[in-house]
Amino acid sequence: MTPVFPLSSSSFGDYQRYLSALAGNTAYVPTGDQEILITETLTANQSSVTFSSLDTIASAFQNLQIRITGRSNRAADNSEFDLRFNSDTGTNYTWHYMRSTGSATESGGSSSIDSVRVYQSLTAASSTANSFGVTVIDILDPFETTKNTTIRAITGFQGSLNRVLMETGSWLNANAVTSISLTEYYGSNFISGSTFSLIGVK
Amino acid sequence: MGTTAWVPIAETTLTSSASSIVMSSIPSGYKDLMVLASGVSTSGTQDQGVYFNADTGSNYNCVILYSSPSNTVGAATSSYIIDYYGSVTTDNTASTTLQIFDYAATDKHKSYLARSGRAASGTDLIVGRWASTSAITSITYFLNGGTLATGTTVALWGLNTA
Repeated sequence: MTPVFPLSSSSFGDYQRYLSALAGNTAYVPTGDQEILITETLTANQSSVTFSSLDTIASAFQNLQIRITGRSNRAADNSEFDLRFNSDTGTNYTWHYMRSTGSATESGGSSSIDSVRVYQSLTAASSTANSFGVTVIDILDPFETTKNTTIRAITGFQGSLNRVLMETGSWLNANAVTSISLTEYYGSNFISGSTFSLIGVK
Repeated sequence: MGTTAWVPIAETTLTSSASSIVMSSIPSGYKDLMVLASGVSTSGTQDQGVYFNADTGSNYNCVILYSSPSNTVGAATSSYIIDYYGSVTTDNTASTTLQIFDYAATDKHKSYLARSGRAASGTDLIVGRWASTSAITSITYFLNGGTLATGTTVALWGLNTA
């Protein structure tokens, strides 16, 4: 980088004059408060998707967001998936939901369970053709080591079955999150074409 | 340095009343779209709606979870609406966020999540589906039976890919 001196100075003999205040430097372009970290579109059916090395690629962010357009090949009209942190399959999770079935509201959930189940978030094999579930999951303070990690999600689908849900969940562990896995709950697959995005939020 | 997630594509603020706001020639290079709307009606309370690619046919359906001042209710309707109790009125107190997933994909119907609310009325969470595999190239924002008033603002954002 070429040094910049005040033009009033007479103590230097070799200088370069710039007409731009950038003085030869690249302009700083702010990236905003959210950055897209990963975009993945499945090219084959797949039972799970894992975002790993988060301590490397995402630790500069305070929060994370996962966005999914998903469908399962389960032989049913809906499905869902498990969310786990750091490959922890112990009974260290809780989750709770409120939903509309299109004609009624209901609630439910579970504690001391081995995942946050993102409930009724996927269409499946007998759902309306070409219909997909949509999900936004916010993961709050995943790198803070003084807090358990909590999530909130909105999800649902419209087709031969109707569902829209609000959900919260927690991982009762204060370790920094290094990986997040999403696994089709019934042992089936996310179908090819399902998409997954990971966003870092400052 | 990473890639900014959401970037602005277009924004319109009405300086006179209008029947709709059309966001057209939407580029295909983004992953998802988000519409932020602060709607105002010229008269009375009106639901907001969207058409994609100017399709006014019976190709829209949605499922609704909403809270009115007195209860929480589930509903479903064959409609293009993006609010239920979070409808707009003349006092500019409603806000709506509409997220459209994989809008440019040609192997999917287009699904969307809408969050809408108006403090004096209620709040809604809606999942909707446009039964078309066409890429979305335009979005028409309107009031269902009403007119958009001066001051209505609609912004369109696109989600970059990594």
